[in-house]
Amino acid sequence: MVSEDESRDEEARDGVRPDTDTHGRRGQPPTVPLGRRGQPPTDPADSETRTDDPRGRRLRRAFVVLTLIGLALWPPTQHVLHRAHALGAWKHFGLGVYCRPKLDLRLELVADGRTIDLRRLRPETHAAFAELRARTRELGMLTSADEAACRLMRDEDAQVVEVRRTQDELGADGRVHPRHDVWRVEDEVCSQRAYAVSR
Amino acid sequence: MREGPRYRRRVTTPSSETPPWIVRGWRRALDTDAEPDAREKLASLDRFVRWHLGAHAVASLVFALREEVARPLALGARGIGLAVLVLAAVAPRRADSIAIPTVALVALASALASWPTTSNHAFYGAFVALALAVLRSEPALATAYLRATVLLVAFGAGLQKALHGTWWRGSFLAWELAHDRFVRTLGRLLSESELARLRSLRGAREGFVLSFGPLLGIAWAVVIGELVLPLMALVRRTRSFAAIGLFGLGLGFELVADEVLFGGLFAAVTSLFFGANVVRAITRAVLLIYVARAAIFVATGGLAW
Repeated sequence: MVSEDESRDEEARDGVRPDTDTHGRRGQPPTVPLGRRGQPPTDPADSETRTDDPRGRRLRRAFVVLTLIGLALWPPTQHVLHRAHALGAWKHFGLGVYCRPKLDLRLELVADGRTIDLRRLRPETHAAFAELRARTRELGMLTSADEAACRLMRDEDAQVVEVRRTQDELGADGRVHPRHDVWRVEDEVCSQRAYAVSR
Repeated sequence: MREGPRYRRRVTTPSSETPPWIVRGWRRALDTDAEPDAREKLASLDRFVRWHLGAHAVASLVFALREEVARPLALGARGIGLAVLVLAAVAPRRADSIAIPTVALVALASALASWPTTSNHAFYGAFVALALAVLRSEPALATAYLRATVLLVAFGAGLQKALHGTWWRGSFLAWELAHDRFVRTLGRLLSESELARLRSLRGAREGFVLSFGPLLGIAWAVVIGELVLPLMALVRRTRSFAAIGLFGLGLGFELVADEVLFGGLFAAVTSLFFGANVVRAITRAVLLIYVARAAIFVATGGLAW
């Protein structure tokens, strides 16, 4: 027979009264088929519910706590990244689907002060900018434009290339607001990336 | 001297030992002892997740094949992943110790391989598969954990909508309706003149707000529901109402946005709030819906699903 004090101590420790069954009824011994925390299950032959490995239990608790904290903190973090760097709201498990419509991303290319028509690019360079556009829509202005810019620099024999990105966004006020970003690449950067670009 | 009746004194704990109600609520939500049918629930969910991930792999493969530039290596990897998932789905129970971790690995690899375009439900599917693999030896903890993830997913979605602010004046819905999306369902809640006004905004850069009316009320209800229902689920007294409400929200999204795979997964994991028979029924019903949608896809030659 468990005294009131012992019962209270156990309740304070486990959060469950020891004489409470699984349906919350008092006055009966617990009939827990899966075993109490930290003890072997009712059926010792059942290896599926064996919980007597303390290291494994600690690791599982760590998994539970860390992933739940991550899942709780990631959506607001993603929102901050969206505000700061136009990180896409729909993807990355930030749960921001249906928060903003997907609007256009416009690219403007300038090589040594000359505006370059995207339609006149070589196929490989055009593909590189198409890839850049797709990645920028998801990863925002954090996406490096170096590779595409270096290809353009080589094609145009330029010293400086600017990739101007404009991402339209629908605001809470029902207006479309543009967000601008200029990615400037100079010759030095591309000479370091020569191998990557020439492949 | 006559002794009066002896009344048993009520046992109380000192206030410092009594946690506040919100902490007690959390403890109940994650209570690993009060779950007599946890293993049955997880068995149903596990089977469902294998077929669900298989269905997702099929859909990904079909979309990849439709791409203009299909990459043979990526297609091959997807094909192998699909084969593994189907094998795991039909594997007998005695192969669980191999099948469950394999499914988790394939789901994780597939989600990471398609980054940064990985959908939220692909990540969530991988997350659920990983939880089933890691917490397999503690079914009650796994069930409580998966329920907590449902609440965090719903709350996170509501938080994002509230922070982006595009639902308070209905600007997101106004934009989508103006561009002929969701018209078949949500368009019925608008007057003809309001719908015509929104359509006339195409190409404009302002004016995408909803007039006061039922649709704006629904927009508010969605955001508030996603924020409040998960909190209500933490309290035992309101948990059933909250779980049914979450089902309702999922169903609403399903009807409007037609997110079959996300809706199916969300419904299956949310069913863990109920008994094992409900989990079994819902997971089977969702799989039947998948089969029906696949049949429509095949019958229409890929035009609808």
